[in-house]
Amino acid sequence: MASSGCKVVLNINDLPTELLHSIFTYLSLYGQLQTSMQVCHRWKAIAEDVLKGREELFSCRLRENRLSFNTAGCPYISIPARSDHACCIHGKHLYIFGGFKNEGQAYNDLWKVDLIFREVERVQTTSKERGPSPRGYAFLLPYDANSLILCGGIVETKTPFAPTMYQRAADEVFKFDIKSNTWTLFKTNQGTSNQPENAIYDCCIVGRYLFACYKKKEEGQLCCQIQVINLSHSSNVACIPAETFRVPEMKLFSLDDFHLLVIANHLTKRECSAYLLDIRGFEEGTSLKWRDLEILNNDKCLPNPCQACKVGDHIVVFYPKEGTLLINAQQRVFAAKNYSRSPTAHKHCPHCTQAVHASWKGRCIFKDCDRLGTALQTAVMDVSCAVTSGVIKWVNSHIEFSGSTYFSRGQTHFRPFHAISGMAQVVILGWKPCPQKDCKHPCSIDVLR
Amino acid sequence: MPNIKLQSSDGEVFDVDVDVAKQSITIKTMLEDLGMDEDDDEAIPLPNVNSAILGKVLEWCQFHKDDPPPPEDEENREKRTDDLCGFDIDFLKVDQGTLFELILAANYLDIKGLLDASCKTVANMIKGKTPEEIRKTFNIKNDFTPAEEEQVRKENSWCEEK
Repeated sequence: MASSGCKVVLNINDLPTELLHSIFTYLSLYGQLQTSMQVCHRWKAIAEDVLKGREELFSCRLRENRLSFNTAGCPYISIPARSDHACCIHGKHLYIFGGFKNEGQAYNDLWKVDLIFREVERVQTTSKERGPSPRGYAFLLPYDANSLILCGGIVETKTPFAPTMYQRAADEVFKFDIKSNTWTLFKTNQGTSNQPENAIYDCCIVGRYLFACYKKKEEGQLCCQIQVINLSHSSNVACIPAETFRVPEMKLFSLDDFHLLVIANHLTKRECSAYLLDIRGFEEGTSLKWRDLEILNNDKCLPNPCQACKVGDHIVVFYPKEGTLLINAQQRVFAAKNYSRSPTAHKHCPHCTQAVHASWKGRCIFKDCDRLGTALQTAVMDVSCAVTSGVIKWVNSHIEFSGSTYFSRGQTHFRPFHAISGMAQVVILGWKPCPQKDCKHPCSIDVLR
Repeated sequence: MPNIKLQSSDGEVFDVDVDVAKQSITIKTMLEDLGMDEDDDEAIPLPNVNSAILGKVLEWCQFHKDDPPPPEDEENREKRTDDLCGFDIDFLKVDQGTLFELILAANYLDIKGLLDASCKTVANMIKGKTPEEIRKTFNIKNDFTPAEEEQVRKENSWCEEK
């Protein structure tokens, strides 16, 4: 400590550990803490401790059902309003692709948000062959250090010759190179049925394999089929046999670099089943070897529709609160009428005072309302012991998101917002009105932690 | 307005308003628990803070004396570093040695607002820099062996782009 006598200039490493620790708590989880780990041994230990603390805090809050939306300041950024977009976090950036603007109108732009400085940038992309066409419901996944994978999605077109909308499933796989901002067509349409029902329902990347789940009808029964695409070479895709499960609902998760976890609903009972696939030693042409997992507290099934993402050792499932998933204009009008009959009704819409989603039509009978959307609930699954002991469990948890409502277009693909696995948090990207009056930014990044 | 006397480590005595000094929880506790009389002529010794730093700290306390108490639910709030007020930004534009001494003093005197503001300032100095730039900024010796450095870099390579 610099005291009387000779003047000693303090160095940052003269600070006691607990003070450096509190400085590090101000660093972003997306890159800054990781950079600090590379400075020296002491910083590495402290930064790792801060990161571990955040992860423990998240799982502790999950278990105790204390998760909440972070509401500090204005989390809003300026990206044109849309729904059913694809997004993912890669390094310190959040990438957002496409989505629907309106019926028959979709985007194929790519946006990049710096999670440290919250700077938004539209990526000027180039492509060698052809880039992805405008689409919604696609999946954007982080692949390796320098690339993202885009797959699936539904392309909507309205032609002057047909009064109805024409929808088709997009089956291509694109690779986006972050360094050169280039799209590369990785797998073209296979010429199979491109009915919108056959679009990729869920997918994830384990190691260098892309697992994609398709919904199929076999002998009148709804099944889920898992197809495997080897991302390390783009040629022969079909030589890995697809696996079909007779289940109505399915979600895929990557547990680590070698394990794929599949959670599926039971055909009739209100419970789930879970399967684990170890891809080590998994050669092309060999069949997939599945292992059944035991589920504790197996009293619920995956809600349909739902969205799920994995943060640390937990899977957080988001689903609409009963009665609040409003799909078409008629339902919205009906809900609004019902609301106005209730004794506590206000003259104006209860949800908001401000209209932001100019592009959305016929939302609610209240002219200024854009909030009669979907209220969310969650269920949480603990998968920390999936690989070691083959047991996973539902942790009872219901988070109600009052004040966080988003819109939904369809029931098959529930994507009014997008929940993204973050570091010790769920990042939720969606378009909804900002509660701050003078704020004009249409897009919100909420953090659930 | 009653005043109290504070004595820095190098013997200088500061005559300050009680309300200003009470932003330091350490001084507040001393006054309340130890029954130190406000009219007492005896100065409170602060052996961990020198006169230059104590002067700065009191300047900060003087400016912030009418601030509302900080919110309690700190845990739930996002830690932001871009919400420093203009006064704090200018106030903390000092050399690193002084900044770290201010952190130590704020910690010792238990002045939460000043501690937060100075920690945020240091965090902002780390923001957006590479490990090498951080070492250069803070004059930190790289104590990793090349092999270790490569290993740590590999572990965290996902956050590096371009």
